[in-house]
Amino acid sequence: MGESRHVSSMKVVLPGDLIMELPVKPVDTSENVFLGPGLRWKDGVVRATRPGILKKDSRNLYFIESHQKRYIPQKREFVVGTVIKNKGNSYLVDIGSHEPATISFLAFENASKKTRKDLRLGDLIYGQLLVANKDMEPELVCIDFYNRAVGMGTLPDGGLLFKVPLHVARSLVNPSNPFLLELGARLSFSIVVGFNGRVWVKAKNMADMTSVMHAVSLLECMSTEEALIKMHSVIDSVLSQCAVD
Amino acid sequence: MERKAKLSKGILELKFMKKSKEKFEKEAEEEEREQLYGDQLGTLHTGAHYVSMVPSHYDCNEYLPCRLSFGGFDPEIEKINASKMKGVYAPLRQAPSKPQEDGMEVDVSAEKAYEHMNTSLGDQQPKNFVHKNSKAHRFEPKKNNDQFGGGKRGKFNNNNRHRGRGGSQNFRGRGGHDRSCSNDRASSSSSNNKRKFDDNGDSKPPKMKFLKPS
Repeated sequence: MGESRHVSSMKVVLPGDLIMELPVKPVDTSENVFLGPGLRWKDGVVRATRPGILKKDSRNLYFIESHQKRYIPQKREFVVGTVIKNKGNSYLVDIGSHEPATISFLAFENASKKTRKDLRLGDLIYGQLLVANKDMEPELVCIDFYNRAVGMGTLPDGGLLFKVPLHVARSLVNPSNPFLLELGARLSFSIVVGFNGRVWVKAKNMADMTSVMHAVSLLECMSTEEALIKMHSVIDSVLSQCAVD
Repeated sequence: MERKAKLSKGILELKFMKKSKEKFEKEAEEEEREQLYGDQLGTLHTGAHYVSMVPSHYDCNEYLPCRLSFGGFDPEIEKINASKMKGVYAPLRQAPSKPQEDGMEVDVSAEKAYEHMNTSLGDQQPKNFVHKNSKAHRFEPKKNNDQFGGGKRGKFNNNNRHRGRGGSQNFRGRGGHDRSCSNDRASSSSSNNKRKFDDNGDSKPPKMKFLKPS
């Protein structure tokens, strides 16, 4: 299925640009159209709301890939957050959105009222958004549909958290982007990439973690191909710096 | 959008206004729902049957699992992710098998174990094996027995035995007949089983065979 979904870039668009016309009352033969983020459909006309690259995939899905730093929570997205408050039966988690998310103490694997999951303030949580609504506070869970934590939950101590723009975070976990694969061939580390732009890295020592962070940050200002070339020199310089210190 | 004249609550409470009260409530509810979820439920706006909005980037593309491990740093995560790696990451699917092999050293190879078992254990079997083996042998012809309530021990067998006693002549008369024989064997006590082995010719239980490892 992954291979059949081919995404093609169409053009660069600016907010307000006319993308296409979709009449409210279509002819019978018209196909289903999916409009992704960055597009608005009003009065039978589709317009862009963000500047970026218009993309289309084989399902007739149009969306705009844009530079973005503000996180707007959406259902089912995986995020990394920090516990900021204990509210009795739930915790408040900062995920970088306009409002902190809540997480119930029962929303962990094997958690029940008797075997509580205790979180400390400042703990990092990797979870999935269950509720994301513009009028309600977002809700996180750390279990999937079958009550299993598939890697979700609190992240172990001793890692490194940093922020990247949202489009960088998305491109990191894109299966066609070999950046992390190359990085993984060079260093051994564990990484969590949240769709809210927070990236958590853990490796054997601080030097490795820092070099991963610097390598990932390269993607902010250059294309993947350029970053793949530059990556090794950045890692070398960070490692040699740390060795001196 | 023109606004309909609203009836006051007092009028709606009247008996004959029941129907219009329900209608009014339904309308109010729908309006409220549209205000709340209008951006999420595609079905609420016109033309939605062929245009649907996808609010999240997560649904626009296929993504790798967001928690990844490289170079065997976190074998547990690599194991979970093994089946989910796609695209250029597909070669990582076999990765987690490496650290598992390092875990334990092999003292006796499979070949050696096979030889040992065949030479030493093949002749002198422990009593446990004999018992189990003979038991398995005993219950082999169970399927012929189904119409009599199977080869189960206990209640049903007792009934069977009574029946057998009642018509004992019948049983003896048939003698070598396969069905009655198997029925007899399953329902009777262990003495019968001993006799069964004697019938096979030698008192030795069948020799055990071990499969050669591939």
